[in-house]
Formats: sequence, structure tokens, C-alpha cells
Amino acid sequence: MLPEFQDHAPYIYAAYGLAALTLGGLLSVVLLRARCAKARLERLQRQAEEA
Amino acid sequence: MIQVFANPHRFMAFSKAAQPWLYGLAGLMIAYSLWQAFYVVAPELYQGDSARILFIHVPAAWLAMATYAGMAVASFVWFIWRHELADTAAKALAPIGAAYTAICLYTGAIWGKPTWGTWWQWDDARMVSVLVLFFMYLGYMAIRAAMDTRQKAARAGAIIAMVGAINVPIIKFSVDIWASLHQPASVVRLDGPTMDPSYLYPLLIGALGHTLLMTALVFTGMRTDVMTRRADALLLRQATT
Repeated sequence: MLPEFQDHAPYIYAAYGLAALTLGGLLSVVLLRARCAKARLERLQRQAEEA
Repeated sequence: MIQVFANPHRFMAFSKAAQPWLYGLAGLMIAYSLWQAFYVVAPELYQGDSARILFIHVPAAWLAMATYAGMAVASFVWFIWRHELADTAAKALAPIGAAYTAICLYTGAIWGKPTWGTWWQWDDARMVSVLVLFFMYLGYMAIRAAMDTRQKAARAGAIIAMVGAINVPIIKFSVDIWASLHQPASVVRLDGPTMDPSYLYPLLIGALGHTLLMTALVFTGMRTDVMTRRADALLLRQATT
């Protein structure tokens, strides 16, 4: 249930919505890059062991 | 202490164990702060409900400055001792600091419209110095990306981070030195906070939550960089044998 504000509701939702988008985007990019780096390292380690 | 965590193997083991706790605690603290902001605290006497924006704007402003200070310290450590993990930390801090500075800028503009009647004021030293900070972050990341070797990127980035650190105290004291639409400091003061406890405690808990989130993100970014270096070294070894 959304809170009921007496005034300035669009400003409050805009500020928190944009902040959530920015932090969500940052979190997604950082975690995705970590996942890709880990997968690449593991693949290369496997190749090195096999060789 | 620094020597203990300066070892990449120890850092990887420590950060792997710490990350879930940091993300979990950060989520809980930020959620508590949001719940207070949206449902519990009363509207401010003069600003009404728009004062609720404080619970994201102020932590973002603190972290924008703290992250740059951290980047400058890490760059200094790299510059003096050439420790690769320090450069890794500075590199990981930059996008996080840029994101928090962007949040600070647009939540400030959104808060400014109903409070001061304007989105932006070019002669306000606080606003302009934070915008400069945002461009410092972008410049740091751009110059690193433009360099063809890691050593050159680290050196150029370290110089920008250390020189740009002068902007951090300018931001902090701008409201005391120059005329500004912003009010003087009401939390970090020598004579103690002047903010009402009903606003102060959720703000501090939210700020701590965002600090833990920033730390967790830095750990993840640093781990990514260490893994990328290890993978590059393996690739090089495979290519030469």
C-alpha cells in the first residue's frame, strides 16, 4: 500500500524512483561483470589443466 | 592491517566471506530508512512532505564525497607504494561514486523545485562544486579507458584523483564560505547535530546502509578486476607456451 502524502508526492516518487533505477542499474552491471569475469577465469583454468 | 588485506589471495578470501553479509545488512538498513521516510516521519514544518527526499539525497551526497576521498587515498597508496590492489580499489570506486553523485544531483534538483522554486542555481557554490565532482568521476573513468596500458591508466587516474581531492573540502565548506540556497551543516557539526531525532536516526541508519552497499559493490568490483588480471595472465601464459 502506497503512503499518502499531503503535498509534493510527484517529487518524492520521482526522486526515489530515479535513485532506485540508478542503484539497481549499478548493482546489475557490477554483478554481471563479476559473473562474466568469474566464468572466463574458470574456463581458462580448465583449459590450462587440460593442456 | 593494510598489509594483511594488501595480499590479493587474502583479500579474495576475506571479500568472498564478507560480501553476502554486507549486501544483506545494507538491504536491511536501507529498507528501514525507506520505511521511516515513506510511512513514519511527520512532514517537516516548512517544507512539508518534500523533506522526505532527505533520506536519499543526504546519504548520496555524503557517499559522493567519501567515495572520492577513498579514491584519492587509494591512488596515493598506489602512487607511493605501487601496490596493485590499491589501484584496483580506486578503479572500482569510480563508477560507484559517479552513481551516488548523479543521485545527489538529481534528487537535489527535484527537492529544490518545491522548496526553493528552482531546479538549479548556477551561482550556488554547493551545487556547482558537486557538478564538478561528477565531471571529475567521468574524467577519471574516461582517462583510464583512453590509456593503452594498465600502468599508464593507473598513473593518469591517480594524478586526477589526488588533484581532484581538493574539491571535497570545497564541497563540504561551500555553504559556510559562500552564499548558498543550502542550509549550513545540521548533522556533522562540532557542537552536535541540530536535526530532530525522528529524522536524524533513520537518516544515519540509511547512510550506514548505503555505506555498506558501497563497500560491498567495491569488493565485487575489486574481485572482478583481480579475476580479470588472473585470466589475462593465464591467457598470456597459454599464448607463450
